[in-house]
Amino acid sequence: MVNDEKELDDYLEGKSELSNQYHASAMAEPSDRLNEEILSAAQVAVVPKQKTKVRVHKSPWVRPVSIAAMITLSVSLVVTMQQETGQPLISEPELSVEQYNSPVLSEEIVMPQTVTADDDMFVHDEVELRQSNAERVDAPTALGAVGGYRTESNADVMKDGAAVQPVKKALLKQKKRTKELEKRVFAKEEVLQSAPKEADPNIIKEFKQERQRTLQEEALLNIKTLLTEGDIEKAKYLFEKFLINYPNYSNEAIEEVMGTELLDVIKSD
Amino acid sequence: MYRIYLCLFYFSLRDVGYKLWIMDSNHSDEDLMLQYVAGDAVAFENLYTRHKGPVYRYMLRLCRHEAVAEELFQEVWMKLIKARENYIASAKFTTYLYKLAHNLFIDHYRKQTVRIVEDLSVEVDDIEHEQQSANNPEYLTQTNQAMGKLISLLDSLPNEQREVFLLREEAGMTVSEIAETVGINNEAAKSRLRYAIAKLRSGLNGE
Repeated sequence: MVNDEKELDDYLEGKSELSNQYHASAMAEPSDRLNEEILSAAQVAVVPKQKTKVRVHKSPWVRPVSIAAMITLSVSLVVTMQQETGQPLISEPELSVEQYNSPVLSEEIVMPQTVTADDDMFVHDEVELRQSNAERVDAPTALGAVGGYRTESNADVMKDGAAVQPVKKALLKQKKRTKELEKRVFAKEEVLQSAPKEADPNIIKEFKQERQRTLQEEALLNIKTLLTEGDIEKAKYLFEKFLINYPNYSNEAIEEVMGTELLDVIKSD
Repeated sequence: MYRIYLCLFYFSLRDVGYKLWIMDSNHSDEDLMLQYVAGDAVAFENLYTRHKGPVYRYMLRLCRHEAVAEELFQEVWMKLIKARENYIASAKFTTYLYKLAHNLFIDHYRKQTVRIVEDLSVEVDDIEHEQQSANNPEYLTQTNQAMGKLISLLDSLPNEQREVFLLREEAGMTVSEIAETVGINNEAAKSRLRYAIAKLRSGLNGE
């Protein structure tokens, strides 16, 4: 046992002849075919790994950076185009009623100096339209289509002299047209309402006289018809009433309408 | 144009330098294995060149059958290639490699044993094969001619004793490394090695 222990120590220290004899006798090697198969398998196993490894290295930071770059470019492009064109690419919020009626948007509207008679029909239509459909009258776009009146405005220039934005310009234009049309419509209505009051009394008197004269002539013609038909009594009765109602009607006029012969027939009895 | 030549010259020099660096024997097995894990097939080639002979002889002496040894030898390296991601640099490469070989041999040995139990004829054949390997004059003549008497004596050793001797001779392992590879304690490894040396010594001396 002691010898075995000593022999093992010598062997482990490399002093034994056993190792030399073993290495001198055992020199077997794997075949070349085996070597090629193993080396090719090792090479094939590594090739796809290189491709996948590149993706793994890229994936953690490439995506966030690309997204950030895309957002930055998009925002800068929008801002640049907005600055160059002067028009907002992103639509502004719609104006509220208060903003719409604000003094900033107010403008000076010059009322039409005259209203011609040719506009009466148009005014009448507009009044009907306004009474039947108030919403349509209030709609700036509907009223914006109506034109042809003489107006003077300085809406293109703001009070502070600053350039008016396109949206505000459009709203301003529509508001101007609305107010103008409303005032014109009310002016037409006033014209129509005042027309009977302002009519010439002489014309009315003449009209009444003419109308009365026409009625007298018609009455005389009826009496003449009765005479020609032989109804003399009825004709006489109506003639007497005619003379009572129209005492100022001249005899010449009666003779002119009825004729001398028929007038003599009535007067004879 | 000369810039292109300079670039080509630079890259060729760089490749040659890298190959020389890889082929440098001063690089440890662990470095080469890590290079291969990183995707360098040249490192694996160098590693394989270093260890192909010892591993093959380890398998051949354990199996005592060339075809089986070749099969197991190839399987060891294939397993190393497939499981390269699992390699940890802190572990010694030789221990890692021979542990793979040891496990494969154990699996093969167990399968062979089950087959022997299931089929009596096979068992008889195997027994005859073992007797042939130790006593057949023709086989002994061949092995004596090719490998010498020591190999014949080695083949006659039990598997456990033969394996620790092979690990010492082929892989150059210490007793503790042998114990770690085989999965036993140091004393058991030392005892097996002591018996193997004693038997071989006595066989060589004709005792």
